[in-house]
Amino acid sequence: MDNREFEEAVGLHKNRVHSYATMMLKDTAEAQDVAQEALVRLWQHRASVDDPGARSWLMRTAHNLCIDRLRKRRVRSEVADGDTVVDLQFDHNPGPQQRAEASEIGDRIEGALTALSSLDRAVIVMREVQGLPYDEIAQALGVPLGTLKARLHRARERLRAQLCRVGVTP
Amino acid sequence: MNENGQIHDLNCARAIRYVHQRLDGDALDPESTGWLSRHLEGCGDCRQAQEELKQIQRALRELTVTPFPQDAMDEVWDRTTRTASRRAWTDWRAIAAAAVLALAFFGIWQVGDRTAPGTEVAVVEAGLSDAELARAAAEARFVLNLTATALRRSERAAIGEVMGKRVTPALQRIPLLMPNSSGRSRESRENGEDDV
Repeated sequence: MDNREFEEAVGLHKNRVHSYATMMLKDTAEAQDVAQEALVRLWQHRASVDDPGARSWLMRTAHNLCIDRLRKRRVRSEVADGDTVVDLQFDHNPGPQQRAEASEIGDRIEGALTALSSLDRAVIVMREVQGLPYDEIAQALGVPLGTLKARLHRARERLRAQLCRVGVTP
Repeated sequence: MNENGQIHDLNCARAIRYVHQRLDGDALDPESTGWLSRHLEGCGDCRQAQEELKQIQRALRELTVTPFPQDAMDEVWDRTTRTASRRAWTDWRAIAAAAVLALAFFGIWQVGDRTAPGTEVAVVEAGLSDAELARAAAEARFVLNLTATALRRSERAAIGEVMGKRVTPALQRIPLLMPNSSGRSRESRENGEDDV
């Protein structure tokens, strides 16, 4: 990949990478950091990345960076709360006011997404939100195609169950 | 199927599997399609599950993209292509400076060589007397020594300009041998044996 191809790839995929990181991390500053780091790493590895594979390469890198950050977050939560892993991001028993606040369907869906495991969320975001092809997602997540589809089905069911649990359905 | 989406019937499990395959965009064979239709007609839970899954899929596809901020993008360019452009420009400046220095050293060496003993042919052809020749040689040595002194003073700065931060203290200690009219090295000049 030469400089021109790098600039084109960045222009094409920067919003996708940033959106993915935002949905995975639910933290604007961290999402920006991850997107920047993924794009800079593409530059550093441009000699070994071909132009058609840039999107898959970027998504894999962004996913790995997100997983690293989520792990660190989890460790920090454990340290802060003894041995208990706390879910800081989702209230499983929202009150009436919280339900009213989450009136927009996008908010409801995104709220339910944060309650999924990071891998379930990654599969849902890559496939259902970003519409990436299965083979590219499998490559990005490092799982076989059959495993990916099974995980996608489970993730959809968990998302639906999560929405039912918090009293909202689309 | 219960309200939490947990499947407690093998037929419902099969139906939900087919529903997901459809959501994936995979076509079902005619036999499976017929079976699913019949099951959905008689199973309200699976019908509701299919509808909810379809709505969730539509809602997910409508989630807005979060644009990457321009200031964050500028930082990426600073760390990638702009850095490369600056480095290339610096490299070209270094090459140009090195070329100028090389030309200067070569020019001085050439002039010094012409005034060295054994190169009187050109002078004789010019028709100069011995006295004029001696005075010209003395003036030439004077000019060359002035040039050599100036170059010696700027030598360290020149190397720094050419090599940038890559100059190590060890490299700076290596003497730069520069031919002059008297044919002596820099060490002898630095030992106080200057002609000027």
